[in-house]
Amino acid sequence: MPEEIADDKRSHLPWIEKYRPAKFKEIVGNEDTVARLSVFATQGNAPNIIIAGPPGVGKTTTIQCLARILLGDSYKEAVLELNASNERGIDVVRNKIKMFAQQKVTLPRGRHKIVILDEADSMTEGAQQALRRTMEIYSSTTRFALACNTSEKIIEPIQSRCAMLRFTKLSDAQVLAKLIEVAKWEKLNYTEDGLEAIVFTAQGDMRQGLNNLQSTAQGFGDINAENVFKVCDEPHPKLLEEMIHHCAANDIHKAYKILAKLWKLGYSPEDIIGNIFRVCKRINIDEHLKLDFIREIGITHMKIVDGINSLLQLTALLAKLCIAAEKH
Amino acid sequence: MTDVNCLTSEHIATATTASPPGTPAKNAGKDLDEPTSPFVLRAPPSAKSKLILQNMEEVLHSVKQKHREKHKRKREEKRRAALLEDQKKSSQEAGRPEKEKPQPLREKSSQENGLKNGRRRSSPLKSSTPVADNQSIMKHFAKAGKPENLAASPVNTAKAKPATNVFEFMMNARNRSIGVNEGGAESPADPEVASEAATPTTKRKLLLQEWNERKGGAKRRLADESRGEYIEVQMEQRAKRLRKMLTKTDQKEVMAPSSAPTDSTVKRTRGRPRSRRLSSVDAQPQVVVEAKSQNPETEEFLSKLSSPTKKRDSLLGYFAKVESPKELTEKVTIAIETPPMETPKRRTQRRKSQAETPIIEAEFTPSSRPRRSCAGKARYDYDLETSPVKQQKTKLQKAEESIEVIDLDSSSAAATPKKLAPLFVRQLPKPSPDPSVLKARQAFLQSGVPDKIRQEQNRQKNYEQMYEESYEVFPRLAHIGCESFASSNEPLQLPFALRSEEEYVEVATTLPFNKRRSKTSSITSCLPADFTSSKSFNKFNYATLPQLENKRGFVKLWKNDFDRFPTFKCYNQMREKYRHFSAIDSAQDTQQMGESLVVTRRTRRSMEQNMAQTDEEAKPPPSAPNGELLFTEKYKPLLFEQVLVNLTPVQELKEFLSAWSGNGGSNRNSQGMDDTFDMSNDSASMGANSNTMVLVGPSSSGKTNAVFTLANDMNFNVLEINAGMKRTGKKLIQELQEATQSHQIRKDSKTGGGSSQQLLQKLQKSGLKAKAAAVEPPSEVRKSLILIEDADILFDNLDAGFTDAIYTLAASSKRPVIVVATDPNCAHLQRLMQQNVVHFQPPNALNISRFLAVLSLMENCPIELDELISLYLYNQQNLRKTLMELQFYIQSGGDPSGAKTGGIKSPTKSSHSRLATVDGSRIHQRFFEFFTSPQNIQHRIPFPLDFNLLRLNLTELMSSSPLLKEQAPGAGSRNTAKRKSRSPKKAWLSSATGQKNDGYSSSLATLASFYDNISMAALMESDCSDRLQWHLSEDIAHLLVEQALQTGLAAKECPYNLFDKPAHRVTICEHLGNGVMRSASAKSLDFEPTLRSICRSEKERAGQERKSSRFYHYLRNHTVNVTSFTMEYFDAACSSFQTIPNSEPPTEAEPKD
Repeated sequence: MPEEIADDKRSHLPWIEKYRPAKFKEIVGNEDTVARLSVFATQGNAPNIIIAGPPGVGKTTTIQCLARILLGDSYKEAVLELNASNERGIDVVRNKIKMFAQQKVTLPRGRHKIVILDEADSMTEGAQQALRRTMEIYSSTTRFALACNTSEKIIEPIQSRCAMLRFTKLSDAQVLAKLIEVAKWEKLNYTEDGLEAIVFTAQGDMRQGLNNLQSTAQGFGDINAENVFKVCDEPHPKLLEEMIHHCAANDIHKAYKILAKLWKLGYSPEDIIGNIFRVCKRINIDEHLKLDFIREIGITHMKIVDGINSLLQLTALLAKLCIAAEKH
Repeated sequence: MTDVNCLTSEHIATATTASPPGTPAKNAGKDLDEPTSPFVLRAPPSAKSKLILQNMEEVLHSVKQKHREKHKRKREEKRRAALLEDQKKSSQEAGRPEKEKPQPLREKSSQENGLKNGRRRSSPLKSSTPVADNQSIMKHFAKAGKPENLAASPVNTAKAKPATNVFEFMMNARNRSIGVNEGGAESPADPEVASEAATPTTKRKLLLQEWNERKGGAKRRLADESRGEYIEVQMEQRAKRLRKMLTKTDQKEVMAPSSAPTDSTVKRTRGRPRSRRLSSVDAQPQVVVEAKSQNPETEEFLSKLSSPTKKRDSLLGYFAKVESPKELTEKVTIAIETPPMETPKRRTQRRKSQAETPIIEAEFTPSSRPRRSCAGKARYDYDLETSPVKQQKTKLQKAEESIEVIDLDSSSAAATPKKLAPLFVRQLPKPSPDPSVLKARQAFLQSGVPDKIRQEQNRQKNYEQMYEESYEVFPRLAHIGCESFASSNEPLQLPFALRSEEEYVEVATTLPFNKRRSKTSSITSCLPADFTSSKSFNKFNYATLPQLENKRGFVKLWKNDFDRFPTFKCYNQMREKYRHFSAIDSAQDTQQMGESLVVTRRTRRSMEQNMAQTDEEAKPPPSAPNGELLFTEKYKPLLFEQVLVNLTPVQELKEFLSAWSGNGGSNRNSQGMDDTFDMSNDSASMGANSNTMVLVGPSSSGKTNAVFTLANDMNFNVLEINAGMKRTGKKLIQELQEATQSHQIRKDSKTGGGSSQQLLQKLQKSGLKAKAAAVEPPSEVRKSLILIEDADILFDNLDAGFTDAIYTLAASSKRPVIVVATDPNCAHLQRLMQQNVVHFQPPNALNISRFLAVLSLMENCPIELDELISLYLYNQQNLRKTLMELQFYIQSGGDPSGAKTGGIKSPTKSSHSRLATVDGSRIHQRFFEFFTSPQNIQHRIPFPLDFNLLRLNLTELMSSSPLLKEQAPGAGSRNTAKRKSRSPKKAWLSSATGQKNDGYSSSLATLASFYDNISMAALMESDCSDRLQWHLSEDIAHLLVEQALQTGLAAKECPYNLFDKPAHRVTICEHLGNGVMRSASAKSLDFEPTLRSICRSEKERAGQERKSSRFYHYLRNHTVNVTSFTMEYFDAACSSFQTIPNSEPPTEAEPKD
């Protein structure tokens, strides 16, 4: 990937495409699973797999990697990729997928045609039902690789025919490592707090992180915290951190100052409460107090989700946090 | 007074000659000078205001007291009749000379006359009432001269006011219904006017009389006359009484007593409810006088309508209409309109209505129209525009004058007393005729109308439509309240001091924003080291596993552990297969393809013998180190003897099939035998449906495999129908017709695609050919078997007739039909299921773990039993999935790290000891961990929080909590013992009461806060039902629980049990989605019983009918998850009401070998 940056076309690509891993080594996160898949890429005979996980952790990338390495040059004829933008009704399963499975493609031994069903949880149940026996009958020639966000939406018989691999969110360090790598390739000016801010906004989603990085770089050039938060406009975690510290110190006036400022800036209460929670998760206060804080935040979040999203509710949250701190 | 006169004269002019349409505008211009001009604006004759009026009218109707009204009206009718009698006589005398003039038109016009009144009321356009009202007001002002005085000093008592108010509405409404234009005509100053006005009325009266006589009303008249006399007497008495009362109450009212009798009659003929008893007596007569005074006007108007000039008038109306569109548009744009513009428009509208009336007139009989409907409409206006006090005052002044006129005019209205009866009796307005009928009439009558006029009309209509469309129902600018809102912005006066918002903001902006971070970041979990070291992740190095040399040694060691499991048998089988496939692989390398070999018992025997001598190790070919088959295919049984688990149902199936294949051997070859067998079979004790068998069981319990195994073993061809094929009823029958009706199928007959079974057989054959000699001739006759897979899945729109086809097949087939279904409560298979069912169940965990252990050994990767069991249970006893994952794990290199270190111990701590190992090799671990634990982030609890699991784990967590142990009061030993029991709270409950004061030292408090947190987390978690989105609340709940476990209980070391899921309890609510009904109680009250009863009835019905998913379609609308609605949830719920008959546990495989 980064080898041919010089290519003019590629410079206009979004970075998520430009730096999409083509080798297993470059895939960040979920190392154990990815490493095992890399074995299959060389040895062949991969079983049917389902990769489930949140967005932006590399499910599709992993599957495409596998297919590319496994099939090499015959990728085009031996891979059928269907995602949610393709029609995947019962008819398609009964005709298109079956036709593909019946096709004869000369492949080296131990290699199979691959049907990639991206976003498989958006397939209708009927289509999945129609798929189940097909998966089995043609297993000697065709393997299936499914990617989905939630495994619950995949019907039991399909799950039963696949090995379920669960991907989790990337850790912050993993995202950060990749960001540094990309920043170096792009020769960006970056500061630590800038990258950290991107990591914070990414929330374990590599795609989001890269997008934010690119936006900041193209918008402002330098990657520092200020610019990052200009691009991804969120309630500033530093402010919120300070606010929570004020609450922990039972100083509601100072805490309210910050909240009022954020409110004046026009952030939605959902954003504010979300960032309060994420900051509170990491904040360095007494664990018991933190537990109480999280509970109060959860209650307020519930109210906000229900539609009671006024400044009053957030102020009440501050008051409750202060009370909890006082009791403590 | 001047303009009143002007108006009246004008009206007369219109009655006799066609007056120029400009005059009303002039009048209105005068109105503009008056202070009450805003009134004109207030009542535009739009549809909206009409609606409002109607609403108001309803309210007023409810106000009035009907029972009293009725009571009164009867009396009044009588009185009125008498009065009219008198008046008739006088008017006849007066009106005779004029009668001849309008003679030619009389017949028609008289008919139209009454109609016009009626028609006008229901005509869609507003009648001229506003003008009339306006005029009447003007008149009052003119006469009173000083309205402000009157308003300031109310003459009447406060008590009388409301009563008179109501009465006035009614009177005014009545006037309007008659069609009064203005109320000033009663003026005695110009008697000529009155007499002139009388001429048309007398004309009409005569006509009515004539009519009456035609109908043979002579007798009736006699009766009426006598009645009239009686009433007259009564009236006299009444007048006296009234006079008495009046003189008693007020001096002023004495002037009016003479009018009292007539007033009351008029008033009551209209049937208006009067609050006579409520109102003070002094108020009443005045109002009556007023109402009376307007009477002549009504008569005038009527006469005008019936006059010969009317036609021309209406034509003029058409001309006037041309300008009305402009006004309409003006009205939209200009908020405040000047009255002179308004008035002509109304005028034209009224004229138009006049013009329209002849269209419908023909149908109606005169006087049959009740006059109230329109009256009601108009009342509202009146209420607002005139204060009753003023009117009373003005009336007082001219009360005497008006009396004479009344006598004159009112007679005309009642020319035919007999005819009047329905007028009074009927209360409800006649329902407006059917619009279609109206249209037809209109079309008929319009046929004579010149084109020009019609075009005008159309244009008018278009404009009206445009107007209505462009009219905003909700005005964009609502100025009401804005000002007050703006003005209320002043700061609140609080008893205590608050800091202002600005202060906060000011201070907050000065916050140090970009201070250099100290050492560790607090907003993310990134460490400073991460910034410097670019890559520090340890990549695992996986490679294929080396061949194990001493597998047999393992098996010998394990044999002792695996009691009751046919270890050696299993091992031998697997070894055979393993070797076999390795052999195939190597054989295929050299392009040796064997053909037409069948694995039967015999061949297998010989093969076995041959194999026994070969060396143990058959290396897989280097090109495909992993082979090219799935474990599920590779290790599936091919013969009945190879079936190791789930034996009982397979045995049943075998019995069923063996009845079809006779002696079961493959050596039967005569067609005749086959036929006789079938015939004997048909005549035997088995029922008509004995050719079908239903296999029911959860997925991956081996249903399909059992069929293929037996088919292979007993030499059947399998015709498979599955959900991946088009399987409409027609196609199904077509394809299988031949198969079902003939007795043999060629081996190469088309089956449903290249079945894996056949492929496998091919592979096996080729391998066998390489090794051993073929025994069976390829031309062997095989019987066929129909396998219908996924029969419980029904795509409504695509698989039409599928169920019917199954039943047809079952009824007519001469081949065994095996139906495979997952759902035991499948509605459309119920009838089949009542006959032959085999229930499959997932295999026993212990057995399967041993099977898996041997298998993994075979694959050179021995895995701990615990791990296998754990994963198997975690997968909810899904063998196929476990096999898949096992393959994934083994073929990707197993556990790379030195296995001896025990990572996370499996919580199923187990009686199973570690498997013995032969020295030099190791047992792989972390199998279970790989598939369950998250890899990037350190969670202890799996992310989608499962509270069922948590509940199970709570006991263990609590018992291992050091925090609770520390805080445990009293004797430690006793409490630890108790804590191990399920409910340790009780012990603390008793003790904790003593030391409740300290929040954090009491174990009860700790526990309470823990439970508090958990329940709060559960509440948050339950909020989100759709997991496709990212849910913050879920995140919060998860963290809360984890945090609570860590800090609240400090249970750090305790393992978290993952796989021990309880039997899933199915509730209907779970599957209905939260969006439909939010509260759980509503759901349980509303949804559940209904759905349950629906399910029950559906199931009952399904037993008798074939098509049975009718009501489920309705249910589909109630689920949020539209795409995935099946009956399975409901059936699963229903299954709790039934006990599945299959109670036999899965047998523990065969005895040891």
